[in-house]
Amino acid sequence: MESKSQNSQLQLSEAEIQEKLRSLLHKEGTWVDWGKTCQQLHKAGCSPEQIFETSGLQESQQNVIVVASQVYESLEKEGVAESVLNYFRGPRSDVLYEFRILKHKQRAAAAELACAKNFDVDDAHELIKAARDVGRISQLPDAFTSHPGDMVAYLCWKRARGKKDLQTRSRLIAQGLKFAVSNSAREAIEKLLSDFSVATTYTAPLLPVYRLEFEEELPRIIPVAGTYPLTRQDIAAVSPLEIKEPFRTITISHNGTFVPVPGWQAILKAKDPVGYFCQSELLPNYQLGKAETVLVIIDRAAVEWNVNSYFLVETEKDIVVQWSEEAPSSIIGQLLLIMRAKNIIDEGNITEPWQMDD
Amino acid sequence: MVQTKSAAGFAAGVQDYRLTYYTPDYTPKDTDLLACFRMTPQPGVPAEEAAAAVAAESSTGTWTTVWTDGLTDLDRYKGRCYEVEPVPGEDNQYFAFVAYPLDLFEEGSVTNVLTSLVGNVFGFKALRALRLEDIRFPVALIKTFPGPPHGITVERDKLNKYGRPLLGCTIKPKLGLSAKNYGRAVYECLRGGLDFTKDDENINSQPFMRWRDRFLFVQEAIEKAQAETNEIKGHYLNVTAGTCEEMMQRAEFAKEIGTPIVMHDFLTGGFTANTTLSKYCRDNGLLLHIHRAMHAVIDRQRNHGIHFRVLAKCLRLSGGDHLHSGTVVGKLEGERGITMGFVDLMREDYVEEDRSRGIFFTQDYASMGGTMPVASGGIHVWHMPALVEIFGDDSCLQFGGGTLGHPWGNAPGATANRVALEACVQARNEGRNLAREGNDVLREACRWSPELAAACELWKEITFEFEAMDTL
Repeated sequence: MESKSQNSQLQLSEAEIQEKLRSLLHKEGTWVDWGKTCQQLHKAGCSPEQIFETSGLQESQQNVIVVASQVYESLEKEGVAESVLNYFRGPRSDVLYEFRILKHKQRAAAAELACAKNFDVDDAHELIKAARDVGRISQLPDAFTSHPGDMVAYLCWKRARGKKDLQTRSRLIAQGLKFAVSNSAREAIEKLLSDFSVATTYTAPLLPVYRLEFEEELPRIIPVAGTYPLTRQDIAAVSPLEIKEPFRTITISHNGTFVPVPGWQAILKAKDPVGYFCQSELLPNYQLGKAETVLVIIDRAAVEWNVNSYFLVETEKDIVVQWSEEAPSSIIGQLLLIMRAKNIIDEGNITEPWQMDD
Repeated sequence: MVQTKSAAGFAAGVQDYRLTYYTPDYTPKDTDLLACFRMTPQPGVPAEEAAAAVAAESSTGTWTTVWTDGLTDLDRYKGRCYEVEPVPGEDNQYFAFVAYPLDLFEEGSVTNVLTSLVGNVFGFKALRALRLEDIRFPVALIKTFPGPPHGITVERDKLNKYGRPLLGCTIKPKLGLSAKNYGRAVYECLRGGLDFTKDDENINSQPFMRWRDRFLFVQEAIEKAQAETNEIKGHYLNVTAGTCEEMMQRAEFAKEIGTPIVMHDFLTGGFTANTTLSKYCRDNGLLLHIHRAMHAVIDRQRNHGIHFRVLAKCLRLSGGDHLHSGTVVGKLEGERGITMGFVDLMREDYVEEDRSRGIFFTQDYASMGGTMPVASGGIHVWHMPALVEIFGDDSCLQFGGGTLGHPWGNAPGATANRVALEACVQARNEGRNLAREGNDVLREACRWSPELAAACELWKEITFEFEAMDTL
């Protein structure tokens, strides 16, 4: 690696450089010595290509042994047993290279485990993955310690518990036992061995539970005063409904006609809504095609005039919906909406509501 | 074989999907393609019926019984919903697990898989929302995909760079630079110590800078920087174009002039174009960088669309050596876990199921090459310890503003990032705790690198020691 950060440059004479290159060429010592030598040569200004051409050590190999020798040195500083160090001085640089992301103490523990279990590079990779993933959990279950081996065991235990497939479950249990360090972790995993109670049973259907998400999803029940023409008394005679939340329950103690209307905001904010049926041509400024019966809903509680709304007002002859530039004398209620019946354009196609493109 | 449809006669009409497609006693086979959907059924539609409808519509089913059902071995070809479970902590949402027989899919075609799994079914009126959370590709299908053109290991060999994340930078402003000025910015960044520079995703071939001019000036910059630094350099030349023919013409030109890497917007370009380009890159020794423009349209909603982990998996199969994956730093713990989950899916060979990281299925890639995650956007030198700790070595860190915004210019900005990166990697290799000591490591490096000191002065120091997760 061409480095920009070689702040501690090493001064070596040409003869020293040649001697070090020669020792690399002849592979004197162990890979730990080669790694240290490569590092010194890098610091002295030798490029990885130059070392490769002289010694045959490829750039990727140089990287592995340099980093692995740094890990090895940290193991020495941690006071790891000589037998473990001796084990790694054999062809185990790839295993130590994997441990580069571990902190000092974890490296020592992982190295001892790797030595005891004769880990290959794949095992070492599993170990560091677990240390990375589990390391951020604040507290493992009691049975598992913070040893990297127990971290792998914990992951295997957790995954095995969730598996129905016996083959996968067995594989995870075996893997967990391979890595487990503490007796308690081993026991926790062994318990799974006797818990093969996974039997195929018919699954009961899920309860049809739905959470109401939006206010608009519940319809509002509106009392109906009748069909136009009506009088002011007809409108006034309709008793308001008492609504109880959260399910908008109503209790009806008298006869009457009621109509459900979607819980649109205009309807929900009405304090005293009443509806009546009316022929559309009797409404002012109604320009939406052919005549039809529509449902007119007014709010009897809204009797204060404003220029932006229509109102149901009483005239000398009858009651009418109207808009006016000035406040009329007798307001019965504010017009909330005029609901038209559902229009079926292609009745044949909606028998199946989720008909899709073919 | 027992047929699902009775041979007694043709019963016309609409049937409940669950009668045919909901099979809770089914054990998925190793060769099945498995999918996990997050469904929000319409109120009143039972979860099992909605899940069965998803299985049906994404495999053999249609909305009514048809005569040709009787000519089909439905038990062999139908998708099966084998499990439905409520989503923990969410109302009205369910995970539906569906197993699809291998025969439903064309070999080596991500396009075909997605057309089945996330085609018509997403417009279903029985569902208020639907999101594809994860796919388990069986090894038998995985082996039919080309995968990344080269993969992480070969990329490192080609670049001759080992033991550290790669460093990159997107040239800004996004649009408007002339080809010559653009080439100059590329040269300065590469000379300063970056490994790569990058076209922005929407730089294709606009009037202010036609692609051919850009390619030539950039390649000149690369060669000049290589000669001065004695390192291999590259620039992601965006070959995304309006037609596949045009895209291939640009890729061929890139190869002709000897550039090491090209780039593609895989979602706007489409999977078919991406796979075509990826195969070309493998055949011609070009690395392929992938941008994910448009991904948020697909993956941003929590209850509808496709999760990015699926897009990332599909990209790995379709082919790409790099893929943007988000920066992680500054995110909440849960998001970080989810992000690192799909980063693993991009570059590991075998990933175990882990719901806490959003991985619903164990995925075996059967030795397919890895795709390098690219952390890009909004990062600067103070983020370096966190990025090294989180992403590890096999990643590409892209400092756009963090390079070009350096008070002394582009080249010192690049040098500052390179020094910070190497200081962090060295500290980590020595066993130091970057989460705790990262800022100290940078301050130590500032003592001998004035470029880094200036950058550290400009941008605000951050701390990133992780909050511990409380849930197991």
